[in-house]
Amino acid sequence: MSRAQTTLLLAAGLWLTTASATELPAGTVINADNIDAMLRESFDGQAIADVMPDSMQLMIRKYALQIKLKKIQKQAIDPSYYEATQKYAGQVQIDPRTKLLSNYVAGTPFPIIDPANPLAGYMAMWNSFYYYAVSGPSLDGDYDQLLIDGKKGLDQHQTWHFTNLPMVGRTLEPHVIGDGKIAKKEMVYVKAPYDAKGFALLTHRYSDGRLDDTWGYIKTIRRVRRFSSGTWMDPVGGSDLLYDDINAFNANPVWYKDFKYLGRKYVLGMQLEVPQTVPGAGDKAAQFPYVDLNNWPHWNPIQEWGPVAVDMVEAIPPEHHPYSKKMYYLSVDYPGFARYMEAYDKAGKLWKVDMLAPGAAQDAEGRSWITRYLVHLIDLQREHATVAVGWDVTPAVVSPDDVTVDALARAAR
Amino acid sequence: MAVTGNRNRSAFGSVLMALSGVMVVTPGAAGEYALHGYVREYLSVNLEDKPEPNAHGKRIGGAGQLSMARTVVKLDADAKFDSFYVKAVGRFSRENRTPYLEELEKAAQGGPFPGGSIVKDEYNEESLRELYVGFDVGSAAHLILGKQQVVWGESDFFRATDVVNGFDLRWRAIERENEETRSPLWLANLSVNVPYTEGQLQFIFRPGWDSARDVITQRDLFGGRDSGAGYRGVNSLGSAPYNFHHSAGDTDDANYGVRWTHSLFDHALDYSLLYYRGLNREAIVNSTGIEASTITVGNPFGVAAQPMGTAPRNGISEIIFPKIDIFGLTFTSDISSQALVLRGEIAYVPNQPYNVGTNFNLALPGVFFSLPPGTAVPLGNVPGLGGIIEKATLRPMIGFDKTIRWTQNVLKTQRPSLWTVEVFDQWIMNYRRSDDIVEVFGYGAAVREHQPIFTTTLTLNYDHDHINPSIALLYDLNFGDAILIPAVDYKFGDHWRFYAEATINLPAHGVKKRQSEVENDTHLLGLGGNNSQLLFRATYLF
Repeated sequence: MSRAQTTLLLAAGLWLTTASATELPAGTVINADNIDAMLRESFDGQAIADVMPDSMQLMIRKYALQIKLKKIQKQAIDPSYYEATQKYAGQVQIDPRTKLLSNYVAGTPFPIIDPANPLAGYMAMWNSFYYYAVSGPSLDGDYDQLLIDGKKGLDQHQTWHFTNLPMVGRTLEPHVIGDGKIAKKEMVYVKAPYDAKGFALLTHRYSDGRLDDTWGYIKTIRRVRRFSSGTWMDPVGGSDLLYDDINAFNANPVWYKDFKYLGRKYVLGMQLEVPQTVPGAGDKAAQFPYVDLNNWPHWNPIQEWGPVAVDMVEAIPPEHHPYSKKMYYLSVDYPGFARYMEAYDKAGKLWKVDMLAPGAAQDAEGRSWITRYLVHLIDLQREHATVAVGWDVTPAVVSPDDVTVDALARAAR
Repeated sequence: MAVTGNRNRSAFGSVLMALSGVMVVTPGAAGEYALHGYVREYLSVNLEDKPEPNAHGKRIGGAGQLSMARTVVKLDADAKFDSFYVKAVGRFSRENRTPYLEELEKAAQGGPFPGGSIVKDEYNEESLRELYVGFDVGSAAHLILGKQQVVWGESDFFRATDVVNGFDLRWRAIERENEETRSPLWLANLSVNVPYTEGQLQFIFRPGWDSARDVITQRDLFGGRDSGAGYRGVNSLGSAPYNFHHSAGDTDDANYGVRWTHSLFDHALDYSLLYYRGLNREAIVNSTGIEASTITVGNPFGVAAQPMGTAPRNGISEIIFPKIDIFGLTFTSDISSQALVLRGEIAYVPNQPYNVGTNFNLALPGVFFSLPPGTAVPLGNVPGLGGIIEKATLRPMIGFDKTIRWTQNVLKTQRPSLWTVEVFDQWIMNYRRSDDIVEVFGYGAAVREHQPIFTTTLTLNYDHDHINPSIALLYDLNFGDAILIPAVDYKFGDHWRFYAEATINLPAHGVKKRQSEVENDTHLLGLGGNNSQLLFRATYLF
């Protein structure tokens, strides 16, 4: 069969498939009972089978995930972001040997990725590294972390506080704070429960490829301790995340062995548009109405999903990393934001699924940034999940003096 | 239940009033507040019999008996406003007078210097643990005023540069969560970011408003459950009472200190330099006691020990806390390739006081009792009562925290484990054996020039950190005494925490069995000899 004949047959097959697919109305719910039928349909112009990765189908078939369809509208990002991207993206270069960037100033480093470029995977992940370009000058706010046992339900609820200060690549001027070595400073501390209250971490993330510098405040001994950055691929406390899994990708791209760009496609994704918590509500299920805490397996999101454009990247971690592979589905609308992630164990078996949602918030000047987030990271092998609800993480004025070792102890008090 | 939010201001104000008794806070328009705390029950059981005599001269025994039944309520309140924040912590503790404590109390009351109620006077407490306000001063400085904890240094078990606060170790001699035993002080605590250096200067000033006992480290010197070997049921404070207002050191005097913190080589090395002028927090016994051998026919009144400053008010001995200078250096460095953080510190005290007289036989001249000149009335062997000598002393510590991954395969931990090692030394400079310095007052062992102690801790994590076993070892590299502390922490939901711990004392030699015993084998890590404990702790968090 000639190449032309093959192409013709494939096109015909595609036409037949599309012709037979029904466009589902918004509000349709895909669940374990109807998924086989739904996979033959389409929504928002996309075939359901194409926008639903196998792991998502597994979550529906085996773990009772229900997907309610809705057209996802892109949320606004302040025009300064697009201006910075347009102004500086053309000058950004990636070193083929070190994989490090040069000439990066602000905005998304690689808004256009050529799939043929052998460094396309790294480009996508550098977009993820500088994801905060879409989140404004700095962030501050509380988030809730729910640790959920698939059999028993919610077993821990922690409240954390998060502060983020980009030091390089700031969308608004000044684009750089300090000498340009530190990409960002982040501080988190626990507010509840009481035995964990006061535990705090300060991290300096560098853009030059070196490992982070991290300090921890341990309240039971009232002391700031240096933490080893050699633990970036270790689990975070009792959660299901590795440090590397925070926001799906929490590393410098050069720490990885390789990234393979697999192309641009659509996948079903979530988006936050209404408050995700009800403070002071009667019980945890009422406090977190968008997490299905009452029904097995207790970790599923109750959200609306729609096709969203993503760049797919296969990440190959270094040898001692617990995973053999991660699959990233990075948002095109909010470059670098991971909407979905799969992690595979050393045997190549699916280990974790991470479903994430972004949300917009306005700063004091009325500028819109993508700052809120929702994370459902599920460990399928242990049947345990960590859900992070960051609805209250919003734009804030943060100065370098707010994210210091000294401030760490004060904040954690 | 944690109370958080912006609305319930009257409740918060009431709590602060209840905690402080003096302070009423009316939060401003943008207040954010939280109230947390716990209700906790400690139960501790003796694992060994005590050889010390009870009130009837028989062995106290006590193995299998409850040595502690302690109920604690702690309230921890925060309020944060636009330009300042307020913190208030109160703790209320009550102990049950267990049959074992009753036995100790009766023994102490039956001695030559009867003590009071151990439970009521020493273990029960109602304390305002912390009450402070913090605010920025200009753009580069931050001031915290009030009762607070200030922790310097890098050591966990032995504290060379952690010198600002004292500790209350009366109710628990070894507490790993040492914020529970550190004694907060009324301080002004100013931090200044020094421009162009990324360094910071911290100034500490203690005006001297504290309760005297909060300034020093309180230990069990009254014969309670954590008193040293040989002294269970003995009220040592009867013969050597505290003098908090001595000429060599007065708890009402102001203390001050300064610390410079900085990083070198792009944070490859964090370090601090510090100086503190305060009291030697550990008890030193000032003496005018007379050594029996100095009473002769030619000198019928004998030679009294030379006191430091003013003589003891009771004519023989009292506990004082001389003022000292402490110069310190700390450092920490991340060796990321080994997942290891190296840390250390060194403190230099040019005028560290020590007690001398390892075989001091206290006596009174016979002539006082109409006996012939040269005769002595012996009062007993009291090592350390020969006076005080000051020596320049270095206290270095070197250690590391290492993340180890092999526990995941070998011990099936859910995540890598934290292994901590510290080696601590006390180096008495210009050491002379002839100085006859005692290692610990009341025991006949002479101190050595170096006193190295090895400590290590390994913490394991299972079931998403619900179950966390750990083991700690303290080992005296000179004498082989050791303390082993296996423990397990269990978390149940958001509110319940359970903890079990054994403190197993492993002295290499026999330890002192009664106050009057003359021996020289009891060393620092042997003080808990015959006093191994099993502790259970249940906590309800809110």
